[in-house]
Amino acid sequence: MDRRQFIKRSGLASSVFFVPSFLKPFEKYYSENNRNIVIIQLSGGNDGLNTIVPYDNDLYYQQRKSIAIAKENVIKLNDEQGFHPSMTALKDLYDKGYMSIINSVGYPNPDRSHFRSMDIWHTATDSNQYETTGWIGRYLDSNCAGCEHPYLAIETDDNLSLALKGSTKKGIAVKNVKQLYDETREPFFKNVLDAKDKVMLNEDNLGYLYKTMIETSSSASYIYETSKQVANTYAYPDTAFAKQLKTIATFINSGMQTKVYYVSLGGFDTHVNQIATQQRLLKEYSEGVVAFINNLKSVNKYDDTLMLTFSEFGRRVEQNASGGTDHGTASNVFVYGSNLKQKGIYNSMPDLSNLEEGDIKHTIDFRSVYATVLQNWLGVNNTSILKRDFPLLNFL
Amino acid sequence: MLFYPPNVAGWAGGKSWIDSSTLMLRLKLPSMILNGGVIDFEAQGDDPDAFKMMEMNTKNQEKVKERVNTTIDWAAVLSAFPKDVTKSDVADALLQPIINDIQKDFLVSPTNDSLKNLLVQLVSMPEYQMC
Repeated sequence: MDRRQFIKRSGLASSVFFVPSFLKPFEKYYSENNRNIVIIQLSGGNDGLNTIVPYDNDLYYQQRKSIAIAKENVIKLNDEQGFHPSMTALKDLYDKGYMSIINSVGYPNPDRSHFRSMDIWHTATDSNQYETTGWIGRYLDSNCAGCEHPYLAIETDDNLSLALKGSTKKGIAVKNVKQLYDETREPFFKNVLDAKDKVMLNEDNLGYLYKTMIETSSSASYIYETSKQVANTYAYPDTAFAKQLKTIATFINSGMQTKVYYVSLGGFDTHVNQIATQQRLLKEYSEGVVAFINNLKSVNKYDDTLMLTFSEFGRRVEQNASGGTDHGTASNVFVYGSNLKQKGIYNSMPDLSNLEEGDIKHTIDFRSVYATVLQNWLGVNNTSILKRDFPLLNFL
Repeated sequence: MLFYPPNVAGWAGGKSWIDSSTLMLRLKLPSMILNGGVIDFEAQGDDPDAFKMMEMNTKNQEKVKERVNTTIDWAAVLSAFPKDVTKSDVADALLQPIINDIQKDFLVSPTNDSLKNLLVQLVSMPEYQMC
């Protein structure tokens, strides 16, 4: 045992055994402070109607002659709606009350372009407004405790989504922790950083480069040093998506202070031959989520984690001639947590007899979902971040 | 990376190109193309961590070279510089922003004796991204 190890271990031992009893009441406070949210983005526009299937609705079967999910294959959740058959892994979580399904989530004057609609979801603005900061980024800007560290919001990808970019602060994108950490340890870069001065930091663009480099360097070492203390041996499916979730579970389990984790799963743009593609993706999604939640439960961390799944839009009610569906509007959002106020199906299913130009009308604004999460989970004032009052929902 | 823009609209302009991981990749890329990922550099003091990193990078140099698969005609590059050019002139010519004295000191230090190393170092600096 060398000196470093000794200090590390003795530090750990003292914090475990010698917590003064007068600090005990703060344990609850700390546990609330450890709350985090995992946001899963289904990119490409997931077909919500074939995900949460309105199996008792004739209109659904009339509009989708060749791609509807047959009633007998639907995993029934109530008398009207049920899971796509490849989401069978999720049924157990649903039955335990860990899942809430919010139907018909969207926004006024929907945009059917992928990038525009995704930008709207990321920036949380009206569809006729353009914003360069994302809602998570503005949360980081809002001076939440410890928010000066980029590792407060981590995206497990090669580059950072707009959602995580604020005006003065931003999250960090990291796919391979070890690799990023090694890159920042390059001796030459270290020397360059040591030699930096105020003039460089204050120069607009160069300062931005230096600041980003410094932040990356400190965050990468925090993430690496913290997460390497736990070994995660929990078995996950062999998919890239599950791998990312496993990384996040390891981060959470290692006691990292990160508030927001961001993951995406792409390929949902099913214009052609939807059946096979969506079947594969929903299976990948469901099995990943289930492994993740069970992993967190096995280490008693699930209570601190809330999960949110969205897609930039749903798809049109009527299928197209290529066995697929085209870009639509409102769709469902999934929330997972161990302590949801309203479990199961949150609101009534989309009204297929009352469409707007063949698309589902939204009944819940997605910013109400954000507002609820910000206010009731992350404990911050949502109005300052979303710049307007949106009615809070009851799932938290 | 270049072929995976954030969305179908492609890459936005300005600072949006730069975030934590893209910046580190950009800084590392020149040395990977030119020198198998090694930025030859004598770390100051006796930082064991720096020494270990250098050792590791040097060990991986051939592997990186193989994967990147570039051949640099160093003789041609180096002969393009006038014989009596100073390191300081080279730094001024390659970097648009003015670097400070501390940086200049270690770039032009006598131990940094090869022009090739200096070139690899210069193109690995954040300042070089400003060109």
